[in-house]
Amino acid sequence: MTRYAITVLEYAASPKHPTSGVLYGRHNSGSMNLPFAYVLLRGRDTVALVDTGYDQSDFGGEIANTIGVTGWSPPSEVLGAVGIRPDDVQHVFLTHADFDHMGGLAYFPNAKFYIQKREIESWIWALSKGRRFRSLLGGINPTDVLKLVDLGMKNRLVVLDGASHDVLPNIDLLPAFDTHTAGSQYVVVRNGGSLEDRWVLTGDVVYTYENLHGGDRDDPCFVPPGLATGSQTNLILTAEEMLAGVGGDMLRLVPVHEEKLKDHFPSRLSDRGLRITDITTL
Amino acid sequence: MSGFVGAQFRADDPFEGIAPGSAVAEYDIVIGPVVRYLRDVVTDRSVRLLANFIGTSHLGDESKPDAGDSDQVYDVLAAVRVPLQRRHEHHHVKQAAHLLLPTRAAALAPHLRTSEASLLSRAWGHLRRASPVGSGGLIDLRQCCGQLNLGADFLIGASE
Repeated sequence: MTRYAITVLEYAASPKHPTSGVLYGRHNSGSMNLPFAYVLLRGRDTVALVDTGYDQSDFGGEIANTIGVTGWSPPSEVLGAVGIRPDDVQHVFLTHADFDHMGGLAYFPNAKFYIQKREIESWIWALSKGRRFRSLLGGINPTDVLKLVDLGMKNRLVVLDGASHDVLPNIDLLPAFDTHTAGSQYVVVRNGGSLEDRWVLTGDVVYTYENLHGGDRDDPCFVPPGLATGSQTNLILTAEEMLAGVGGDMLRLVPVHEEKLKDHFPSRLSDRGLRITDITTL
Repeated sequence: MSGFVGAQFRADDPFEGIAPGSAVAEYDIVIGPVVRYLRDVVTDRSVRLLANFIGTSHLGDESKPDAGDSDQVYDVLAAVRVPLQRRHEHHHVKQAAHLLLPTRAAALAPHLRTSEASLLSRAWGHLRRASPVGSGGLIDLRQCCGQLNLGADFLIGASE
């Protein structure tokens, strides 16, 4: 049975992120620390990443600055803290195209990238709509879309059309269409035959555990993320689908913007003060 | 698209706060249309590339930037007086022109082996640093992509 170690690697943070951006409808509720992270999957012969972070030196960095993201570190340092070089990464699963998830394409010269066709098409559609629709585009760096095209021309892009099972042994990419973005997807890692061995890497369909319980664990209520270009209802329904896929165990969902991961899984700080969280090891 | 030389300056162009007649103002006035022309070029080519890539679209506007303007860009770049305060921006204008305008860039060759997407991405990077008075950062691919007539509302289920 192919198994994967799963490690969440923080690469930056937004220390005073508006709570309303994380929890729909939580207006006038102050701010919270929001880690920015990607996920490393390590198998016996495999190094894969879920999302890429962004590049501080390009427009992604400017977007980050405008929303108060600080402490960015390059993948060489973030991955280096766990003994991996960016060159070692063979596969990158892109949950969606927002700058903080897809802005680091160029850092992984040997990787093949996987994204949903609908995600690409929807952003090009949105780009075509003109300035009055620019609120749809606040989260993307347009040149990342060009870079994606470049990868396509170099046969380093796998464009998926819906659910894709076993893209790598025991790894599924499942659509989360019309949720956080039009063509989002999430990653299921099946480390064994039972639900207890299954992990869901949520992308931005779920930012934090509170999106799953609404702050009331005794009487939980789905509260979708505050930022989305798709449907709030679909965000909730996809969160329900994710939970169903792991037998309802919230801790089998891995939201990368969740600061409280460290309360549930072993973690440590890198030399740069960025958190490394081992969700599961081999 | 119309030629840049005849471009009209509007009252809301970002020249406020610069003394009329100063070297900086003169540079900005001369170089502004060049930057806008280069934006048009990179936008036009980006839109075509993206349209071809997704393969489900067609261009609503088949017009291209006037090829004759390329030479004028080089003429302006050669003639303009670059004040110290604009050297950095001017460097990026020249780099963008070198990437985008093949007639004279051909003599410098190395960029020709770069893929179109990579070249355009790099050109965007230069152009957003090249705007006089740092007018807002991002070169607006979004605005110019309005040329695309994708007929593609169905792509995100907007009409479902």
